[in-house]
Amino acid sequence: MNYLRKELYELIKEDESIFDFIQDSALDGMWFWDLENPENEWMNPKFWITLGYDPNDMPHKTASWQNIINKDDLEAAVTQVKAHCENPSIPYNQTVRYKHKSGDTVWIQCRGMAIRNHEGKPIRMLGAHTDISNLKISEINLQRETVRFKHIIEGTNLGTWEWNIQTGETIINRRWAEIIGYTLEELEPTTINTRDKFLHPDDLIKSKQLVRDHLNGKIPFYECELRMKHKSGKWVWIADKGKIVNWTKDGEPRWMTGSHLEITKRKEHEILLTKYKDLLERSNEAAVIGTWEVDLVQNIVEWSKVTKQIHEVPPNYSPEMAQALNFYPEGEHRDTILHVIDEAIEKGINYDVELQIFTFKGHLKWVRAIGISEFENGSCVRLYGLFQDIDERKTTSLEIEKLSLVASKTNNAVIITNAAGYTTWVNESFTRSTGYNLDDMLNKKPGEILQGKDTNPKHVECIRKALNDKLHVSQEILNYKKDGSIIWLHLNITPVFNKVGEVYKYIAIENDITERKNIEKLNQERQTLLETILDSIDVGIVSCDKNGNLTLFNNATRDWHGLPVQSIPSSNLSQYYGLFKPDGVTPLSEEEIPLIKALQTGSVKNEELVIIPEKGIPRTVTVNGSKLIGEEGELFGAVVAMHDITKRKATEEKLRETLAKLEGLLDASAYVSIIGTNASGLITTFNKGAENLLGYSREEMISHKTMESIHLKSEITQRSKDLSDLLGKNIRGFSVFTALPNNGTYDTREWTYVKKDDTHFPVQLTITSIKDNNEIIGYLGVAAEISEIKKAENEIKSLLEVTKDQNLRLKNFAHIVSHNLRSHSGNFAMLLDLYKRENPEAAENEMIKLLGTASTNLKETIAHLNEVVLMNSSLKENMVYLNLKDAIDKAIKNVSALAEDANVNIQNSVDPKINIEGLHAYIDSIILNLLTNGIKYRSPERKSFIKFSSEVNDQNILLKVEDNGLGIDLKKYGTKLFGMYKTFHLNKDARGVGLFITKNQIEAIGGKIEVESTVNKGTTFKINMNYEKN
Amino acid sequence: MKKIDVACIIDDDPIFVFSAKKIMQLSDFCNSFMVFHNGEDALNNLKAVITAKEQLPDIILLDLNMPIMDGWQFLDEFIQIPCDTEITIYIVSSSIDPADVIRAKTYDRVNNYIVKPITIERLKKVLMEE
Repeated sequence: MNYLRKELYELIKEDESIFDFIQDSALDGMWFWDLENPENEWMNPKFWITLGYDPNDMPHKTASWQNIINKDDLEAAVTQVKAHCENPSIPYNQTVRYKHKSGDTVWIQCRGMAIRNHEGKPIRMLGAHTDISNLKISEINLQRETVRFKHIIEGTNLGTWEWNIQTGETIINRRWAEIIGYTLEELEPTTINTRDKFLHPDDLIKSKQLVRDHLNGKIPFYECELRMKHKSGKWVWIADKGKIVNWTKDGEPRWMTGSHLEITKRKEHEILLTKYKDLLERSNEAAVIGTWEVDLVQNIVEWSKVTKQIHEVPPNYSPEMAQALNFYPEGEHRDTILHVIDEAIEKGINYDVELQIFTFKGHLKWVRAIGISEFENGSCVRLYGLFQDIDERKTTSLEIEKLSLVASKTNNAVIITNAAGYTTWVNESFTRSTGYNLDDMLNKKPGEILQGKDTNPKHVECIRKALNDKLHVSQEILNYKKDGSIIWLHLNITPVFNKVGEVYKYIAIENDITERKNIEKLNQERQTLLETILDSIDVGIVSCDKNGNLTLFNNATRDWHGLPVQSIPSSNLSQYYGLFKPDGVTPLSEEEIPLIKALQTGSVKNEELVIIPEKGIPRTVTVNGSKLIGEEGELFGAVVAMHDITKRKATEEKLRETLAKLEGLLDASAYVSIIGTNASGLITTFNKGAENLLGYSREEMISHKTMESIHLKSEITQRSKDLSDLLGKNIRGFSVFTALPNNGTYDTREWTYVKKDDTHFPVQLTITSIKDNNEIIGYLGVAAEISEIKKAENEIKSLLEVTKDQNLRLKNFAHIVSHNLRSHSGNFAMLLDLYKRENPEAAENEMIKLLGTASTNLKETIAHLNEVVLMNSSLKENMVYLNLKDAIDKAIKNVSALAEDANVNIQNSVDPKINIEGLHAYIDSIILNLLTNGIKYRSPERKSFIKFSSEVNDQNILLKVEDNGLGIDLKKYGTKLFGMYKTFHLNKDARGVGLFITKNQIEAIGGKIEVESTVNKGTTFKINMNYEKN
Repeated sequence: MKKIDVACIIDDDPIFVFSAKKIMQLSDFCNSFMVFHNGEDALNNLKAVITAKEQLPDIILLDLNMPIMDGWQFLDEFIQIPCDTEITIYIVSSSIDPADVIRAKTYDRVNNYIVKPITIERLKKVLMEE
């Protein structure tokens, strides 16, 4: 209810003066205006009905009447209201013009009173409307009439006179005097004799007799044509008329008034009249104006040629009175002509009307009929007049009239029918929306064309009834377009009344509401769909109204309960439907019932309950629900959805059992985390080891947390990406753990666990699925902490770093050896050389000799060191294939002098086809080293030899270097054999670098060296090397 | 073996300079020496000699590892100086780094790479090859 209306009603109850005010003034409308919020104003229904509007369409806003109030009146009203509000003693009472919906002006007497608060400040204004249109119209008409008479008198050049019969006082007007050539002043003072003096003697007698007759009541008025003497001396003809208008108290006539009309010309031209009559007929003919005459005495009807033409009768047609009237269609037009003829004959009132006739040929056309009655001795003897075809003009003007009516409604379809309901006009919009044009509709009843089989007869009846009662009707109705399609129209049919209060046409304004109707239909369908869905899903849906009464109970729920829906108090719901807590034993109290809880608290989330129906199986369900809020925020009920989780519950139970069997094992592994989850990832098992490693307690985790919660998020994201790529589908969330186990394999990899205190540690986690009858019911994740392993791995990594660092330093060392040491050693050698040259005798000096040896040894040592260092910086890509036999032969040649001296026999039986992989310098160095070694450590006790031989297998070749030299005690020195600066002989040349370098060089080219040796028997070096296959 | 007039030694090692001078004197290798202890010193002085059109050395023994301006830097600058006289440049270094030997070959003006220490025999041999 509008707050202003409420307020007003309160006010009326409180304040009698207001009630009286309304009673007295508010006949045709009432308003209550909020001065504090001037845009709000409540108007009662009568307010709008008076103005022709449907109250339901009009909002309670000042804006709703602002367009229909007269602008000038609004301005005046504003000023007055202001004055009234400032000073209560100034009343607010004003006549205001409103525009009626039909376009007419409605005059409203508007009275108002400000309602003031205790400070006297006006806060509301109450107004009352009285429709004074009729009063106003009469007033206007009276004014007009007066003015009109004055104009007529002036316009007709009538002289007037007033004669007091009792006193003889006579008043004449200026024209009276002018007719006989005098000024009014010349004739004053006027008496009854003033007239008589100018009268023709013959006429004086006749006139006096007639006046007497009138005064005696013999004739209703005095009328006489008489002659008066003009100032110029000639006679002028006067039509003199008069009537008693005033009587004395005793009933004696007092005043008689009358008029003089100069008819000299008429009299003079009466002779010409016959001629003119003929002329008139001719000119009428040209103007398509027909004449007619009815001799009432002899009952003869005469129509002129044009009149006959307008009626479309044959020229020889001789009309009769009764027949003539039959041309007017029954109803409005026939009634009108009968009425005006009657008035003319009875009261002598001439008429001039515009009416429709059906011509002889059946055309409906507009005509103008003018009728004049002629009286003789107080009764009508003759009626004559004009007859004009105005169909074209009338049609046009009617069109304009109609157009003006609908001008503001161009978007609406409009049909106009005559009083009998036959269409006379439709607008373009009608044609647009229905497909029918005026030709289709003309002279037909709209309903017959537009209505069809699906039109609701009730709607038709409603319209018919309203039209019968000549009432405005508003109705929605299904119609058919010309193309047969359906159109829903909202009709507003208004009867239009003529001056005498008869309906002469109906205007129907039609709104196309098909779209709205379609939406309504769609909504209906949706509703049905929704209900069908509700009934076909296996989720239980129950709703109630705001009082807890059940309003909906879908199929699933009915099945579960096996009970019909009954309206039972919410306090009994639990018992009736068998609702229990998850333990299946404790019945739910009223406020624990999810539906009631949702209604009372707003929502329920994942509430678990057990339904144990009288018949049927117990079920565990989870319930979600919320209250229902209307558009205006009001609570209108609640709804809950129930999921049957009985099966899931059973599965979970099974899982728990399975895991329980593992319990012993689980708890035994105090440092292995074993975590079980259900199929959706929720933790169901959490062993001691998991508690120890993760810092969470079993209670915190089970049924509360998921597997993801103890993992590093970034790792899950990364794994999600990797798995999605691997499996070609989107793997996210918990699926990253289960994607592989689901395929039947278990998934073992390193993860990072996040402890409760947010620290991280690495684990090796294996996830397997737990199956029950081939259905996965859960997962088991076994994780071992691998921090120690990780630590070791990290140590290796850092060692590698150190090694790299060392290597780098070694390179620097190589540089130092290569340059700095060499330059010093070079200097020594140079200086010694120079010294010996300058002092040849010093060469024999033992000290200088030793110095020379030291210098040479230093130089060699540095050369060796350099070789060792350079070896490591050699590059793999420098490797080439070279012939092994050639390389050995070359080396033998190089040491041939030495071998000869030492009497060592060297044999090379290596397969000449073998090409080995290596670096020239290295191979040369290796062979040379082994050769010189063999020579150096030969046995002086026997004939020495060194033998080179080769064996080929799949991967590599084996080069054997065999000698029969001193041999090495491998038990003693085996581990040190290839060390740097190790010597095993007392040989003066041995410096212990050779084998170290050799071993390194062999390994650098991807080979391996082994040694077999027996002291005093000989040594065999076995060298495996890569060779060129094919 | 032709007789050389002026030999230039560019080396920061006084022992080498002493020894080299001695060797060349002993072998009657040249008439006089120019000695500079680093590349910059040598470059500036040789520039001045060229500008003044005084007598330039016939050969230069150039060390690589020197303070301030090393042998390579000296070479890069020196070969930019237009000079009518042809000067034979030997790199004399204790570096046996193959990279240095290869780099030396990229300079047209460098005639040979001599690994220290030098001996009279080696010096003679090198010059003989000229």
